[in-house]
Amino acid sequence: MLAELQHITKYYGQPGSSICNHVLKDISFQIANNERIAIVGPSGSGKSTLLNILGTLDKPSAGKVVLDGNAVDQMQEVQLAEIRNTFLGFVFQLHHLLPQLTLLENVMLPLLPRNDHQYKVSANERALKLIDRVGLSNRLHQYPSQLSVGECQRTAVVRALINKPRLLLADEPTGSLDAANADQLSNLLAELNREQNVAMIIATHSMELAKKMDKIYQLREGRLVIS
Amino acid sequence: MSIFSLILRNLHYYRKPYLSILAGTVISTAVLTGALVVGDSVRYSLIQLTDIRLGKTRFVIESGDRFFRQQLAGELTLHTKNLVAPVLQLEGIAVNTDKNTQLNRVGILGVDDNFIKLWDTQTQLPGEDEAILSRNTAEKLNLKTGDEFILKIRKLAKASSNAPFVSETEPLVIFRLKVSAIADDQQMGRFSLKSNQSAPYNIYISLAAMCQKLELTGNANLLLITDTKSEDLTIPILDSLLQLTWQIEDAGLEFRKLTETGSFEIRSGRIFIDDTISQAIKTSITTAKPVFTYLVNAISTGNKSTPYSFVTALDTGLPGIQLSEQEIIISDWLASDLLVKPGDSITLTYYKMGPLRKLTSDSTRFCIKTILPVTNPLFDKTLMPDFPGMSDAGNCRDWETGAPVDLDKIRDKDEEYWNEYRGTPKAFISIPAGRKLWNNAFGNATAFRFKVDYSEINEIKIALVNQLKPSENGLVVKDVYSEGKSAAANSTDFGELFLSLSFFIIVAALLLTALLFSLHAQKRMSETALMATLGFHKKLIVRILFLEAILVVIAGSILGVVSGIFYNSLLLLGLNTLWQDAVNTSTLQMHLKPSTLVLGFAAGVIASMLTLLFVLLQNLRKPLSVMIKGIEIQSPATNRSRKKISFSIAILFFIAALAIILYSIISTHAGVSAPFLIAGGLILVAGTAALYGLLLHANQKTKSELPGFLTLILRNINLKRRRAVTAAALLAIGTFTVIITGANKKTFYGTENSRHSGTGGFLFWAESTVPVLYDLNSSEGKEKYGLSDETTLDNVRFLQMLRLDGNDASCLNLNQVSQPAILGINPEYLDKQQSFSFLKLESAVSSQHPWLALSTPLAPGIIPGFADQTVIVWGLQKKIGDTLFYTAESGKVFGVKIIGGLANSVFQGNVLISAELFSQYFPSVGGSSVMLLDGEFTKRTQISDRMTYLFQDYGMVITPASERLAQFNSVESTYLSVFMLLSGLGLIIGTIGLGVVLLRNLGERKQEIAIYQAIGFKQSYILKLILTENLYILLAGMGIGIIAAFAGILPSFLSPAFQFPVTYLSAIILLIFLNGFMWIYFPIQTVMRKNLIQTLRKE
Repeated sequence: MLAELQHITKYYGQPGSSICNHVLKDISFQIANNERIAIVGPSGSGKSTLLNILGTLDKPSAGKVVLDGNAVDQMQEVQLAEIRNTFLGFVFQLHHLLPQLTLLENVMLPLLPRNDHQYKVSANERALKLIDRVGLSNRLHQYPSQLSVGECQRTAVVRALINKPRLLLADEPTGSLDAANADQLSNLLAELNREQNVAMIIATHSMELAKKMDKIYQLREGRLVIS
Repeated sequence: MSIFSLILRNLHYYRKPYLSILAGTVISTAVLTGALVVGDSVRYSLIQLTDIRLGKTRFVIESGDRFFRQQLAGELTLHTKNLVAPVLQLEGIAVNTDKNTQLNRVGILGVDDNFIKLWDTQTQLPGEDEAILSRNTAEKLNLKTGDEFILKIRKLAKASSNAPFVSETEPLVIFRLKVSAIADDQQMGRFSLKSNQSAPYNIYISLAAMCQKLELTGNANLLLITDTKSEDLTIPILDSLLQLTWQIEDAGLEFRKLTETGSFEIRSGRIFIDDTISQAIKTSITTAKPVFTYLVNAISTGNKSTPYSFVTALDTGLPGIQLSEQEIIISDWLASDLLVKPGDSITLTYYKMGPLRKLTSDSTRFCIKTILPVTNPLFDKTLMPDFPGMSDAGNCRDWETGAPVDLDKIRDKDEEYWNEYRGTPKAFISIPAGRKLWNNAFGNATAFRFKVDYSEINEIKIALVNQLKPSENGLVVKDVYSEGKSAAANSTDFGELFLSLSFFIIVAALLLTALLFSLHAQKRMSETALMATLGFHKKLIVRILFLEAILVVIAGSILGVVSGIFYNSLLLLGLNTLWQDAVNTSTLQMHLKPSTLVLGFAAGVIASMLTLLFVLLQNLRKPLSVMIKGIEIQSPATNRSRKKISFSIAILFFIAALAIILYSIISTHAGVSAPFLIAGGLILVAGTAALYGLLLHANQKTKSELPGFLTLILRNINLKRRRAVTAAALLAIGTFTVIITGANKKTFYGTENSRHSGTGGFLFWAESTVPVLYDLNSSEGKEKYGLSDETTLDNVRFLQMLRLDGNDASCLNLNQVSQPAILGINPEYLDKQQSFSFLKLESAVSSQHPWLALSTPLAPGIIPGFADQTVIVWGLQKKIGDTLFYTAESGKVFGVKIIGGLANSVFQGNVLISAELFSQYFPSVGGSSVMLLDGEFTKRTQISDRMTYLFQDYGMVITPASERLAQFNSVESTYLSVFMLLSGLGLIIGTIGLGVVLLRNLGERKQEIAIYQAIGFKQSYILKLILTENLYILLAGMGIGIIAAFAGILPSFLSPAFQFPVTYLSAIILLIFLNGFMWIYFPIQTVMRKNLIQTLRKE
């Protein structure tokens, strides 16, 4: 199993108190290799929280996250960073490209923490291929401010894939895009899943995007329901 | 792309925020470096000054009021193979009658060619009627080369003017001199043996001419020794060479052969022979017998009395006659005058002399052992010492005894006796009896007599001189050069001082840097989080951001060091000009030490980096999921807990402050400012914490659906409350500092009449070049100095003090002082007046009558002393209970234990001991050259005028006590001015912080403002809203600062002498407000003028 959530609970505030916000309640599910899962639900239902916990950006109040057979709660900060660098890929609603770097440099950014020179050389080739794949090869040296929002988001996708992650986590990836760009990105993600051999969990409002996934989970009142 | 290129790219992209951080670093490093360089520069200047004031002099031999042969210089030159220059150093008064200018207490130096050789100068030795003036003396007297002036030199005789029966000589020798040259600082003009940066007033005249005019031919009282030929001269070597070369004449002794008896006699030019010398004589000449001749006022029995007779105490050595302490031998002349016979009792009445020639009459009864004819060889006229004014008098009525003589009592037969027998004693008592009766600090013998073969006399002289120690006879060898360098090297640490004075500006710059970096870090929060999500380990992220920051900080610190040099030159310029009161010199020069620059650079880097690292780590503590969103929304629970913590801190600190204040008031520490300042600091923290808590409270409190104006303001501030509280804290610290400084500027005028003030309630402080020998409160003293007929001076009381010259330990001297000047005071007088206040007293000292503690010695050789607390701590770097050691006139070392610290007083720079104990250790200090005058305030002008007139020949300078105190306070006030100026700069930086916060907030709130406009808020309402928000921060910060400051200056409020400078402080507070308002109003106006609805359209 690629990843597994076991009885994940997340709340904010003191449990039992009137202002305790119970966001996730005893959520468990598994993700297989190359699997594509969509998590849908209304705003504030905890989709992003769930993704953050799975992506080790946040800690659950209770429960266990297992990535590639390893329990995350046992990991040190260094191991978590390595997991995020090699095993996971992130795409957010906003592209979060660094404005000071060009498109290519933004894509290559995840290689910086790695010391393997050979790997970096091969990653460079892969970056160029991926950029070409998303149709941005003519924009390699452009800065984010010179790109459209859709182009930025595609760049963010390439950046997420540059280290060949096995699990891509996308939080409302089309949320900031217009319909055409959103559709283009939905298709791209679906294609990249196959081409790059990467599993995906996408938190989205968009049922169109969700429908392109293998499974759709719904988050309702903190509980995950398969639809 | 490498990490380094990413860093460079980041630096380039974020150049604007980094430039502002760089500016903050430049300021803090510049201030740090500048302050440190000021320390080096002041120290270097003082060390340089040691060379300037001493020339080639390395060692000196000083004898103060005693004199030795000038030839001693030549003899020491032979032995040391170094130049030794004899000098006669006295004090005098210089008057330029043409320009009506007068200078008192001028150093008069009788010098020869050897002195000139100590300086790299072409100056010629002045001729007989010529003088060289130091540049400042010439300027002060308005004299130039070729001009003539009057010089009055304090006349010194070999015999101490305070010794019994030594007549008061004319106080001054007056002569007219022509200015032959004016000496600059480098050309001996600044010669001084005192470690002091203040330029002395010097006049150089020919040694030979000076000696001749003062009747001290062939004498000197100072030897200046170079160390150019060899480098191994030390005090012990010079001591041994001095021991080898000095002769009995240098100890003031004289051998003479008594023609009538054929025996020899040793006498002293000082009349009375010091006990240490007596001991040496007895040891080296075992057959020497002491002679102690004294003038008694009367020898009487029944109603018969013989006035003014000499009586000698001696080991008679007469065969068959042994005197007990109660027995007396008298001459037949006296027996017939008194009609007495052996076995009868007679009474000797005599004077004993105390400080300020205070005479006390005493009498002792003796039984007549035997009566001998006056022709008996025992009755030897040479037994009378050479009292100046008596020995050479033609008749008794011409006597000048230094004690009152009732001429009416002198009969014709007394004159006849004088004519025939001169000072031949009329009676003899035993030596023990004589010592018991006439014991005095100058010595208990007037001669030693012994029989020896003439051929042996030289051997005896050698034996005696070997037995005598120069140091016990006032000849003290001093390593003035090393002492000077050491005093300069250990001088007031201006680096530390200016670091303290610049503290707020440094803190403000660092806080501003932190604020700017925090804003920058917040702006890059999502970027930082993104890097984490991409697998950058936290350490790597910190490393990247840290390296970015350190490059900026290094660049800023380099620029800061350069700016620090410029800042230092401004500070030195200020110290040499505007703030000269603080340093008493205008010769400070910049000295750059590479190590200091490196230290400044490193301190700047470390201070800035620690600040930035703290901010960085604070920002990275947030969860990545929060950071990636770029905004932090705290849960109500977190906010509630923070509110609780904030209020707890506020209450705790406030209670602590209150407790400190109450404790200080109750435990009579109300005069000590430190606890109140600490309380003020605690209130600052409490206020800031309370503000933070209040903002959180306001955020939670309102439940209504429609927020009111105030709620909206508080909510808006609360959104960026850290920024708001940081800005408010900056303002609070600034306001606190500036008010504290402003309110503590000395306000001493109007306190003259307060006995507890630093003036002690005295009207004047008077200093004279020539000491006043008599007690001016006594009728005799008033008579002597012409005060009896002065009705203006009728109610004036004088506190006359004895002074032992020493280094000035007041705040006017930057050098470290180990032996400050001593003042001998009358403790009973000050106790009666309850004058002055004490900051600290040793536990054994009565707080009701502290002055009386000075009267009793603490242990053999240890006497109690007081000094100003500031002198103890800063000038001497000592504490209460420490002991200062001095060498007494007898050469013995004694200690002055500091048992109390006075609040800032006119005594600053001196150590105070009892006059009575003073006289025991320094009996030769015959008069008072310092005094405090007590009188009616309304008559102060007349008193000053009359005193100046009456004591013009004494070179008396009358200064209002309040003015003297003001001079000392001016140093503190100058420091306060510097502090206030620097704090003001810090406050400007603080308000820049407020401006930056505001601009940043406005930048982030453009959309919000646009929304207000879009939903129909009037422009004026929006302006009011944002203005009020920021005014709230401004006023909150100022309010906290003002409350804290008032706690800090509470001791001043409690002092009856304190006058609250309402206008001054109101002006300061208004200025702070206006400055802050300016930083608020104009940025808001600028933003409001833009069409912000465009922002929404872009969205």
